[in-house]
This record gives sequence, C-alpha cells and structure tokens, in this order.
Amino acid sequence: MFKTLRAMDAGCLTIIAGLAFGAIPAAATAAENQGITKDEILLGSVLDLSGPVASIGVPVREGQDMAIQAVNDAGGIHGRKIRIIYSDSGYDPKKAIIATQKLLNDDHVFAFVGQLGAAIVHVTMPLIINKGTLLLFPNAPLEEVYEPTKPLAFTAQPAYNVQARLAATYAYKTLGKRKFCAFYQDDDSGEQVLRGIQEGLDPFGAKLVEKTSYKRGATDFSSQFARMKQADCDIVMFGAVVREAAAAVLERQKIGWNVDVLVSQPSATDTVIRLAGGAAEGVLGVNQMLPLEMVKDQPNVEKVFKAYADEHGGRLPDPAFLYGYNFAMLFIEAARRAGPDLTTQSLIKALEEFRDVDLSFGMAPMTFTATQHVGSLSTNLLKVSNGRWTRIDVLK
Amino acid sequence: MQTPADYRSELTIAGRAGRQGLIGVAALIVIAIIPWFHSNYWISQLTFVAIYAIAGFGLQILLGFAGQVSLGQAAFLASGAYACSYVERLGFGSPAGFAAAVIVSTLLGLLVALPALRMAGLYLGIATMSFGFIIEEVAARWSSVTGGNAGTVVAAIEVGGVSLGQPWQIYYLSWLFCLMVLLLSYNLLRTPTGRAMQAIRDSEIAARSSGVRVAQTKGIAFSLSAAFAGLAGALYSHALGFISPEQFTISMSLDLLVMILIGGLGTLRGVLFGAVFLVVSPELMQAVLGMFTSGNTELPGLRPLLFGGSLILVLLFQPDGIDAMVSRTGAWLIRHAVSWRRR
Amino acid sequence: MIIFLQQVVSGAAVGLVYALVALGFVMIHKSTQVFNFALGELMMLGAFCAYTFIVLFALPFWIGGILAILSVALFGAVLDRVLLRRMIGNKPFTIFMLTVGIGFCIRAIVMLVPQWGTDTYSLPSPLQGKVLSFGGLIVSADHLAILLTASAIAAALYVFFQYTRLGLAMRAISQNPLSASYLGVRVDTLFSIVWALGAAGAALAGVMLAPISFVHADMGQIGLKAIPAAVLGGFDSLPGAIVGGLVIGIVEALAGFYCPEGVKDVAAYIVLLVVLAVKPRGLFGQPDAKKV
Repeated sequence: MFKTLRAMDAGCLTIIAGLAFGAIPAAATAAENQGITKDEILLGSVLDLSGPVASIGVPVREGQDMAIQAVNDAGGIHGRKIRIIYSDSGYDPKKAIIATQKLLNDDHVFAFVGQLGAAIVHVTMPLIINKGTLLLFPNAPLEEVYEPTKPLAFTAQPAYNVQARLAATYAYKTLGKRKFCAFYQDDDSGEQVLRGIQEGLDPFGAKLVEKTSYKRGATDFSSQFARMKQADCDIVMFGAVVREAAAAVLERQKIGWNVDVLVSQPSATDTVIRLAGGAAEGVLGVNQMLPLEMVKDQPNVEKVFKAYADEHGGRLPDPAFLYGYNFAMLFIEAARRAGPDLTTQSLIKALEEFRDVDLSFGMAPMTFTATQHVGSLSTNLLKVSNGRWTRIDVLK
Repeated sequence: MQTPADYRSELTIAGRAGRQGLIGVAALIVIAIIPWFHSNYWISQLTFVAIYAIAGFGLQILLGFAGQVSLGQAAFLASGAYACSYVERLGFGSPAGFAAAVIVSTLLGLLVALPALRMAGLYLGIATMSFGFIIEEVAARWSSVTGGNAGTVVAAIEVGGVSLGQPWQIYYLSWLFCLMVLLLSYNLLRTPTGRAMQAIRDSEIAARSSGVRVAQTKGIAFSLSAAFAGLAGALYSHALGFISPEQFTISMSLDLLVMILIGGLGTLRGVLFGAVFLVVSPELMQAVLGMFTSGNTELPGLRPLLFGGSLILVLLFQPDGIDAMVSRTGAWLIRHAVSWRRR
Repeated sequence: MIIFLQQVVSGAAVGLVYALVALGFVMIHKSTQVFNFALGELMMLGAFCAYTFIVLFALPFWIGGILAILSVALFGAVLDRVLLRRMIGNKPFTIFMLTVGIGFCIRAIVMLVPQWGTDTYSLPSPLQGKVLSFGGLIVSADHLAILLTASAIAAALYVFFQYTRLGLAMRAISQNPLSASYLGVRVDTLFSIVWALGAAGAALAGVMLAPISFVHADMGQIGLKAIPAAVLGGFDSLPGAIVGGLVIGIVEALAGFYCPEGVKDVAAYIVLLVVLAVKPRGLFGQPDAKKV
C-alpha cells in the first residue's frame, strides 16, 4: 500500500509540476503585435459566462459570434478575418481585471467589444484606455463611458440613470404620476437607476415617496411591497434585474395592488414575460433595444434567426442576443469604413463620421461625433400588451 | 504534527535543517527572479499567491493550530482593504494606510473573539459566517467610508513620495510581507503561546487543566489571524486597484478554507502550496482544456468543479494535503538517493 | 395592526421554507454529527429535477415533484455510501469541508448540464397565482401549501421518531452509534436513510419554492439563510428548526417593513448572533457533554 501511495504522490506531483512549467512559458510567449495583422483583427471581450448575469453574457456572445462568423464567411473586412477572445468574469471585478490585463498585455487585442457589466466596465475602462486600446460598445449603460468624452471609448447606449431620468420625466409629464416609489437592487446598477429617477423628478420639485431595496438573490419581496403599498404610490419604478423583477411583479399581483410599474433596461426583456406570465400584463419598461418579438419578422433579422434556430434546435435566441449582434455589427461597419489601413486612429475617425447609421436590427440609428461618443441618447418606452412588449413612444 | 520544543533539539534531529534551509533559499531565489521572465499577467497572479498566503497563514494559526473554525475571514480582509484605502484617501500615505489596516482588523478580531470564547466547532463556524455577512452589508451601506456598492478605486502605493504602482513592485512588496508573516508564524509555533494554541486545539479541557490561559490564547489567535488578513486585504486592494463589497463574500472565506485544506491543515508550508494551487490550478485547467477543445470556451461551472473535486479527492485520499505529498515524495527521493550513494 | 399581522404572516410563510431546509440540516446532524453544507445545493437539485420532469417531460406537477424528491433522496443516499462512508471517524470539520466540496461540485454539474446551465426557468405550480384572503390578510396559495406541508412533515417526523422502531433506532445512533450497533442497529444503513431523508426534505423545499423563486443555479443561497434557522433552534432539535425558521422569516419580514434599507438582508444573522451570545447552543439546544 505504501508503495502505491508513494507512486501516486510522485506521479501527481510530477504531472502538476510538468503542466505548471509547460503552461507558464506558454502564457509568457504572446503575440507581439497590436491586434492587427495582414489577415486578422484580434478582439477581446470580457463577459459574464458563469455568474449572476450569465443569462445575458451567453446570448451576447452568441450574437457577437454570429455577426463575426457571417462577415468572416463573406471574406472578412478588407481581407482580414476577425478573431475574438472571450474571458469569463463571472461578474467578479477581480477576475475581470485580471482577464482584461491578460487580453491587453499578453494577447494584445486591438479593441474590446461588448464588455459586460457596469461594475466590470467601471474598473476595466481605465486599464484599457491607459494602454491606448479601444473600448467599444460595452454592454454596460454607464454614463462615465461617454461623459466626459474619451477618445478611445465609444458606446451605443445611454446610461441607466439617463434612461431612468427620461422614464421618470415621461411618467410625470405624460402619465401624470405624482407619487413615485422606487424598488431597486442593492448594487451599483440599481443605485444608478435610483439616481436617475431623482434626477428626473428634481426639475419638477417632486420627490420619491418611498424607496425599497433588495439584495441580489432575494426571493421574498413582501415587506418591500407592503411598505410601498402603504405609501400609496401611483407608480413603482424598478431598478431590478430579470429574475427579481419577475418575482416582484408576481408579488404585486399576489397582494392585489394595481399600481403601474416601469422597469429599467435589464428587465424590459422577453424573459421577464416568460417568467412572470400574466402578471406582467400592462408593465411598462424602457429599453434602447427593441424587444425580440418586435423585430423578428424583419427580413434581415428573420434570416439570422433562422440560421440560429438551425444550430440550436429550432428555438429563438435570447433577447440579449440582439446586443451582441448589433454591437459586433457596429464594429464591423466602422472597420469597413476605416478602409484597408486599419489602425486605432483610422477606426476612431471612421466612427466619428457616423451619422444616423441604421443597422435595422432593433437598435436606434447611431451618430458619433468628436464630442459625442454615445451613439444615441434616446430610449424606447415599451409596454406589455397581450403578453408581448410593444413600443409606445420614443423618449429623448 | 510535531511540536517543536527547543531550537537546538530540532536542529539535532536528523540534521534536516540544512536541507530545509537550502530548499527555502532556492524558493526565495525563484520568487525573486520570476518578474524578469514572466509577463505582467503572471506577475500579478503570483502576487495574489503571496496575498492569499498571508491571509492563509492567519487562518492556519486560527484553525490549524488553535483549532478555531472561522468561516468569515473575508470580513477581516475587507476591513483591512477599506481601512487602508480610507486612510490613504484622507491623504495620510500608504504606511499609515497599512498600519490602519492591521490595527482595525486586529481590533475587529478581538471583537469577534469575545463571544467566540464561549462557542466551539459548528456554532463558532456559523457565528463567524454570520459576522462575515454583516460586514459585507456594512461595506455596502457605509458609503461615506467605503464607497458603497459602486466600490472604490484604489490609488497606487505611496511611500514617502515614491509611487509603487508597477506590478513588479507590488509583487516584491507582497512577497516581502509574506516572508515576514511566514517567519512570524514559524516562530510563534515555538513559543509557549504557540504550544498553548495547539494544546487548545487538541483538547481544550486538558489544556485548561494544565494551566493554559485559554481565553487569552484564543484572543491572541483571533487577533493575529485578523491582523494578517487585514494586511492581506490592504495588499489586495492595491494589487487589484479596486475594491467592492462583492469581492469579500463567503466565497472568499470558503476559498481560503479550501486552500488551507488542500495545502495541508496544520502546516505552514501547506499554506504556500494551497495558495499556489488556488491561483494556478484554474490556469492549468484552462490550458489543458484548451489543448482538447478549439476556441476560447470558458465553460461556466468548471472552476467550482475543480475546487470542489480537488477538495473531495484530497480529503478522501490525502487528508494531510499537498504538504504530505511533498514530504513523502521528498523523503522517498532522498532515501533512494542515499541508498544509491551507499552502493 | 393588520399591516403588522400581514408582515408576520408573509414572514412565517417564507420562514417555513427556511424551516424545511433547516429540518434537513438538523436531521442529518442529529443522527450523523455531520453539518451538511451541501443541503442548499441539494435543494437546488430538487428544483431542477422537478423542472425536468414537469416542464421538459411534461409530467403532472405532483408526479414530477414526487419523482424529483425521490431522485434527490436517492442521490443523498448515494453520497453517503460513496463519499461520507469513507470519512467516518474524521474530525467534524474535515467532514464539513467534504460537504462544502460536494456542494461546489453539485452546483458546477448543474451549470454544465446542457439543458440546465445558467439560465432561469419558471416552474408553474397548479396553485400559481391563487391567493386566499382571511379578513384582510393575504396569503398566496403557494405559501399556504408550504405551511401545510411543513406542518405535516413536522408532525410526521415527530410521530416517526417517537413511535416507530426506525425512529427509535435513529435516536439511538444519534446518542451513541457504537452501543447502538452493538445492540443490533444497522448503523450504516441508517446513516444512508438519514441522508436520503435530509436530501428529500431539501428537495421538497426546492420544489415548493421553485414556483415563487424560479429555478436557477444560484438557488442554493437560500440554504445559507436556513443555517441561522437551524442554529437558532439548536442544531439538534427538530422542533427547534421549525421555530428557528419561523423566527428568522418573521424577523426578516418585519425588518424589511419597519427598519431602514439593508437591515432586512442581515436581520437573520444579527438575530442569530444575539441569540448565540445569550444561549451558545441555540434556543432548544442541549449543552454538549464530552468525555475528556
């Protein structure tokens, strides 16, 4: 028995040591270029593929991959194919920072596309920009990406608080709501929505009547809703994410409170309807991207969805797919316009000449200038009607 | 586990000190020259090995030597990280920041020790776990000090006007601290306090009957482990450049426990092995998987599978951890080398 | 006043979910001296199995639910036979860490199964959306079902432990496994049965909770909340687990309503620490007698 144990020990240790020594030099020798070669453009993307928002990260990747695959199959951009390296952040800032550093310093990517998560972008943006690399179209509606304008950072979406501000203004002026309540997730994205609501109400001298929060992962919202019901609000604005938003909508139905609900971008998605069912009827939401059901019948979209269905057993992609697809397409379009001599500067120049560029894939037309690096400051106001999201208005 | 009683007697036993010393020096040399050969990515990864090791030494003293279960070490890392960043933000410089980190965490450790004296095992573990959750929430709500949920960006270390922001600088600093903590822990074992801790671990009642000051010793164990964790937290905040409440969760506390167990419970070398395992094994796994699958697929769930699976395997087949594996292999090699020379 | 009562009722409903999981903790610990950290993950596994049977295989809710509970119970027994069996005699802390490892692995495997993964699924129950009203107090039918089920289980367990031979055998092994085995009790089989029962309890909690909280890989977090419930009542007391769960649930609901934001999230832990400071063995716990 002892002999076997010794052999096992030595065997294990040798394998571990061997792999360690093999892996470390492999990581040390990295490509020594700026991410652009004669036939390749190297992109990086740090997404949450296994953590709390993996349900967004995975479809985003699918969308990006599909757009990139299509362009590669058609010959690439000016003869260059796009290769994209993904890293899983697990929505952990620490892992995201390490992953970003690796993509920057070891893999030398040309640009980061579709970086996912407000907290993630918040901490990795300085790293990326200080290295002279582009941060393009992150999946994080964060005001600091475009305010103040940074030469290397471009985004397609207005920030959470900007959308919340527009939504609150709309609720006040158009819907005539006066007693506002907020229900938000106890983290950065939720607090941004809260801030936006207050920003929207300030010009009217109005204030929040009640605000309640929850910790991500919570399943019981009865006390929060009881408190808000007692405050007798006429609208509850959500700064919540899909799962909790759906559960909260169910709670609202359970206590029989017919108050209007306006959800923020993360929850204005088909998944919430799928989870909450009939309780979601009448719910309002803001989202810069149109819901899947609304765009799926457009011919160009239908083609892509059919290709997706063929690969994935006949089902439609998740709404987050649209973000991935659109943002990748934005990069592709910009790279195309930049011409064969693709450099960081030529891409920036090409982007800054975008005027109402409409990709017709559910996203608003994009305009970038030297002083505006956010593609569109408007958002769609949506409402759940007959179990589907429909557009009511466009808020600017 | 051997209880060293006397420096000299230890040295005379089998003359191992010479060999141990050589290995130690060799390891130091390897650590020192790594920044010359490896990328910034690996430098920062190995920095985290040192940081986790520092926190690990603290946990080993508390758990491996004094036998006190703590499922909430992340709270002390958090207190250290936030104390350091707050003091630095106020403009007092990094040395003050680090001192604050250690002091605040030590005091917090003492605070935890008081009720902990009456609890043992399961209940102590759950109480410390609860403490961890509470500190996490405090970090999220006390925005004026901690920056709340948005977290706070941490500037580079500033010592007397010199900025130590480069990865290799933080690397050396972390390993320097790690070495200091290792030596401190090693010496602690030889003192009466260290022996008292082990006595408490093995049988608290017997220890008390033999005159060991149980309350005092437990207090020292908690404070020291918290102090080390606080130091690790301060280093962590600079290595990462950003801290937020979401990092100091029970996940981190569990990672530290897994690290100690896989490395070898009750040994100091085991802490280092465990820290290396914690940081390097996910990388290895990615490298190995990358050989079999094309593309850059990072499958969700692989990291918990790696840690959980390794933990189960270690506990079932090699409960004394990597440290025991290394010892046995080393002894086997030496025995055969000796017998070779005899021939 | 009615608002206060409503909070108490809602809190009690949630608390009983905690209680169901806490019962699992206590049952396993009482009989085998093992603190099974993986119980939350077993609950999640139960929910996913129910999802598979009910939604993917289109079985009726009750049949799918029972199948799910049986599957997880079997899994629990297998865990005991294959893994826990080898650890008998080890320090409690080491066995605890083994269950931590098991919990990691269960969660990882759930995330890797193609049909499950990291997505969120809804598990509609036949009682979905139905709400009962008792003079101004609102209780959802799902919660009422949990209340009735938990009570039934508590009663069943009481009868089981007091009046059946098997229950008597389990009480014997929880006090002194060695002498129990000398007296002819099949200790190893009983260990597996206890694990199966504990896992079944967790799976039941998962099945009942799924319509409310949806099915996803992070459901195990609720297990973390059930731990204070189990400890509050004293980790070896079955009625204590239920009382503990109720207390935690009600305190959370009241804290959410009356206290500043954020308190609700840590209320359970604050209460636990306060109780442990006064009664280090929980409300109904027995002081440990150890042979020196």
